[in-house]
Amino acid sequence: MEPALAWIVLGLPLLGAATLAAWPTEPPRSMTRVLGVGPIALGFLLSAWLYVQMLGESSDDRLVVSRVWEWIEIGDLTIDVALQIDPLSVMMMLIITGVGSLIFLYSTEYMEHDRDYRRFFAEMGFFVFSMLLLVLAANFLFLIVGWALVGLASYLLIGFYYEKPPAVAAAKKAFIINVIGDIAMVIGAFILIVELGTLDYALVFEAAPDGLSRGAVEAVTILLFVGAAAKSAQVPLHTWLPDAMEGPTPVSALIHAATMVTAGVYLVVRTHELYELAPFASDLVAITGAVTLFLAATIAMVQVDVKRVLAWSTVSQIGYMIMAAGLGAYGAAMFHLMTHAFFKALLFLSIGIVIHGLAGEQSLDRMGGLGRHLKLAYVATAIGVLAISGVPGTSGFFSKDEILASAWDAGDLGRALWVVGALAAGITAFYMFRLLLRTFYGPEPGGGYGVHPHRSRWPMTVPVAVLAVLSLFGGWIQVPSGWSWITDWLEPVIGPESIPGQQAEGVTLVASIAVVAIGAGVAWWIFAADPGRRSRLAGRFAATRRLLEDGYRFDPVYQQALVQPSRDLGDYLYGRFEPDFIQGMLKGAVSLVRGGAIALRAAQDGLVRTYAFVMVAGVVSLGALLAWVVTR
Amino acid sequence: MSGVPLIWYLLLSFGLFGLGLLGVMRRRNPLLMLLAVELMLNSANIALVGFARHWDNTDGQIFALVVMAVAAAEVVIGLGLVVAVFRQRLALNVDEMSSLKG
Amino acid sequence: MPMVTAIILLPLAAALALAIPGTSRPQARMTALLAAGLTLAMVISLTVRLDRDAAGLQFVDRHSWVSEAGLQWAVGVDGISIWLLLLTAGIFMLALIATAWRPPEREVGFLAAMLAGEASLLGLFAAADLVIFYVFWEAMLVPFFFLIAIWGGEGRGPATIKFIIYTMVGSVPMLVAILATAFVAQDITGQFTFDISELRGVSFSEAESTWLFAGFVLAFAIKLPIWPFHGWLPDAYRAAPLIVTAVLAAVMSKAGVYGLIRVGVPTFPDGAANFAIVLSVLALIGIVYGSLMAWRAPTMRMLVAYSSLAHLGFIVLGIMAFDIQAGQGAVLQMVNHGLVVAAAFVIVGLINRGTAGDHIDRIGGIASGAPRLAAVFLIVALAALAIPGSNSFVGEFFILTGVFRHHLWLAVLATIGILLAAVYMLRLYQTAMNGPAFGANARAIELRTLDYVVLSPLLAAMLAIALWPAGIVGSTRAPVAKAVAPAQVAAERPTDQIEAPVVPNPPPRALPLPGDEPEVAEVSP
Repeated sequence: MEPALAWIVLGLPLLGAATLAAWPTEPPRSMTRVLGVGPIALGFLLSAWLYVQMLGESSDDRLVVSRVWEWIEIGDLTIDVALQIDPLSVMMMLIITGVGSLIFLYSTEYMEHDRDYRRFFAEMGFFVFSMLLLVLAANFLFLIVGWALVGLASYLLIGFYYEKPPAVAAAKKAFIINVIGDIAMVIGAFILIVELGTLDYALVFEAAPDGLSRGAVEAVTILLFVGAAAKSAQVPLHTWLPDAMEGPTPVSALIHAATMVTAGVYLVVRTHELYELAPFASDLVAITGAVTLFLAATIAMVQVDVKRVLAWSTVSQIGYMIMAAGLGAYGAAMFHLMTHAFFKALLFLSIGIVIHGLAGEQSLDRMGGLGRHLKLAYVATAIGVLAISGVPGTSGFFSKDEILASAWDAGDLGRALWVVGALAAGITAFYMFRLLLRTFYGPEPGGGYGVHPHRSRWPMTVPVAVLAVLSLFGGWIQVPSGWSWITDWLEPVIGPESIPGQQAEGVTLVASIAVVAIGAGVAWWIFAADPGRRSRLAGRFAATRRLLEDGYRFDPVYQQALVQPSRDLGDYLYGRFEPDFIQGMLKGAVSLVRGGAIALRAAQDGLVRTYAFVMVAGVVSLGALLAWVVTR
Repeated sequence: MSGVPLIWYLLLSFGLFGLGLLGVMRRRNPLLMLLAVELMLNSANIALVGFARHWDNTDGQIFALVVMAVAAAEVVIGLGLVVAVFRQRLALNVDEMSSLKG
Repeated sequence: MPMVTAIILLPLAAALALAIPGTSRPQARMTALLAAGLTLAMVISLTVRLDRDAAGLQFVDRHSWVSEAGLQWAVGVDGISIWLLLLTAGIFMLALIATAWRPPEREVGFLAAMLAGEASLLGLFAAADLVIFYVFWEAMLVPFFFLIAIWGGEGRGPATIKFIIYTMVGSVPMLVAILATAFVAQDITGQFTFDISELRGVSFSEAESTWLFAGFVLAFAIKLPIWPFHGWLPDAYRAAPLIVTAVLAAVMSKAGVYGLIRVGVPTFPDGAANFAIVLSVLALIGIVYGSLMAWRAPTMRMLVAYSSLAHLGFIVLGIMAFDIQAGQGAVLQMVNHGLVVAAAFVIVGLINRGTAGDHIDRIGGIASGAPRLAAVFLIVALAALAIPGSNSFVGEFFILTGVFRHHLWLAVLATIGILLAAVYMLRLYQTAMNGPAFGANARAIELRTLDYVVLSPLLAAMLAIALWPAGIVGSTRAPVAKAVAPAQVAAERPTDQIEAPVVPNPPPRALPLPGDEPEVAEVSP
């Protein structure tokens, strides 16, 4: 196995991005396209080759740590610049570069009319580099570095249209929440250094069972999870993701669906040996995932902006992955990570075709009946909807059912969370079919379309088609009671994993088919069967609807409880405390000295007589003193 | 030679010194203040000479000569200052020369 | 070749040369740039030749002056001070280049004052003797007095006076403490000396150590500054010309910290241990206070000024933790902060080219007209907020690791500073660069070739440190271990954390001691 391949895959996107960024003028479009898409596509081929090489190795040899230089030696701690190449990182590499290449290709057409074409591809290339660094890092320090750089890339891309204040605000929010996650992970790293003296994955996992007290390992895992929650938009650190839709659609597809937001899941799976020592933290992870998946699904039901529907659905689906990871079903979590990458990217890209075709329209209220005009988008979106809803046979069906089945087998907590997950699956089907029907089915909006929805060309249609095929058939690599390529492939990293039992699979199968049918049915009944029914029902449940539209009011609470008080404190310090106390302290000292000086000045009245008198008085007293001393 | 007792020298000296001191503290005319300072210096001379005679040692007399030289130098400077101030202000009243007031 | 002495004297000689009446501006410029360049070259050569594993002073120049009074000329470098010398020489070189490109009125005087300032700072960082330390500590005020009072902006008169007097309020007790140290040490060891390395290990009683440390700490606290002794900072930073503010923030601020780690902590370990919690808490307050102030500051200068208060708080935390990792992190952070704040002020200067005044809220959207500046500004802003992957992150991370090891809650609370740093830097960047464009002439602001000349060395250094911090940190381990060891003993740390042996009451220098690193002295011909 050739570790250099991993370094090349890592370095190419950075090289491409740097070249694009440093070019003195706006380069010709063809050059930007080559330097943008080329490194990622090449990266995918090299990753695939690496994968093939790994297949040839025996299971034990599939873990390689490749060090290049000693980054720092401080106190007793040594940290190297090193990559860890194992089944988990290679799987992530394939997903990142694979789905990435398709999205990059799509972007060459989607962003065609944008003035900042070069900047887009430079920033996207930087993102891919950072994400690869994150998954390939061999120690916690470079994990954190990759983590932060990915946050930076996300900030840049969310704020791509930086002249628009909403995009600027969304970017800031994403960055700040990311920093909170970074800080939590850094504190976790402190604990590891102080207790174990190392940050290398291999050494940490080896030393942890004996070296970390129960309290310490719970603390580390919870802190790492805070980071994961921030990055993967889990409650309560989820508020940035819907706002992140301000970025261009390909950004939403790549970063906020397929890759960056899954970093949290990757983290839990990567550090699972620590989570296995921390049952409380694992339960916390699972519960957080469940709460998130449910809350987000309910919010998605009422969203009107198509991208926001998809954003909230992403939050919800990642909740499933997090829940699975919390319950110990790492293989299931990674499986869903992969299938979700396929169908979520598919959904974003095909909705992107709609948005592109309607010259920027994103509201469901102004859509309808597009199936007639944008057939490819209709079919692709439909496939995506089927997959995400978990219709039997699709990729999402296999992965989601495996998560639920694993939950069923995971004790009392697992069973309770199974109920949550199953219910949410029904809600998922409902809102996704709502999206599909309101966009493509039924009557066109009153007045028809001002712009004739224009078709898209091959750089946009081919990736969509590929993703559609993957979303449909990609799930067959892991079939219950059949074979499990993913779990087997990941075994060197995650250890032997118990496969859900027959009962779990059976119950889940029945339940999932039932809830999907109900959810899709209700959606059909409201949105398709009778065109007027939607508006008639819209008036009901207004208060609940508003609560859901406001996302359960997390944002105002944060603003009032955290942001505004801090701002007020800062204003108070700047406006009153500093001038009154700090500078006042100095002014007080000055007045004291000045007052003393003025008092003393009274003796200097300028008259010779006074001075003479004082001299005489002084001499007399000294003389008396001297006489008194001498005569004693 | 009948000696004048030392005490008489000292009494004369103290008396002249007191007169001179009073003069410095009370007079307002700088010239008269200088005169009074001279008086004080010369009273010290008298005391010095008296002691020289008493201890039969010429050191006191020599020191009196030194004091006289210093007094002369000091008077020159003092008179120069008074003349310079007089030229500027036409006042000979130390109470009015208070521009060095703090 | 008495290299260290030459490094100190060359800028001074150049300053005096410029003081000769009749020096023309081109001559002055040439002399200044040559002197600074030569000084920088000499410092670089010392850096390369430094023994990275040695704990003691190297390249020592020592000449006895009045041996009965213990007065001597003693200068040298070690793994800590070499980086401060390099930072000083480098920043001043860039400052002089920037001055040469946009010369102020009475340029010759300005250059002379800058060179004198450089000499005094170099002398301070190289001082091996308390008297020399004090002389340069006071001496550096003279050129800065002129620089601010004559070439400064609005409010320069009161600002200068506040700055000078406040600093001296601190340094007078330090003078008393220096003298007292020598006398008290003489009572203990029988030898009268001001030499710093000889005073390390003198077993002062706890009371003596505490009082003597107190005498020094006020001076350091004011110079640093540590909250609440920072009153001179906003006015001085506001009134001084931009280049001088940059130098103040980048280099002069390190003087106080350096005093702590060179003189305060090693010589008076019991005193330092007694003051550790107080200073650490004040540093923490400074971090939060400075960050909040920076967030709400209306002008760019004030933002950078208060953010310095916060960054220096981290460095103080690192030193007062008496931990080798934290100490190494602190030394690294001294260099990092110098680089980043200098780059930040360059950016502020560039923005001032196209705006009237400094107010953040009155400008916006500069990125659309000046994309290259926006990119560089982003890099500098990210380094300032210590994003993981930047040079500043390395320093902060290891400072807090060391603090966490001994005072968990201090480290956790200090991370609030990290969050606030992101908040205020993002506010600065986004308000000025993003959103619709207004209030600024972006074309005037965009980077020109000359701007790259000043920015590139700073950015290159920041990148090099981010990729290979071992380069700097490696040489700091032995001297930091040596500096904190007595304090670790005083704070009763577990012995496996103490790396350098503490020899109490070392006898006179004639005999090299076992366990104490021999000085690598350069004998003058």
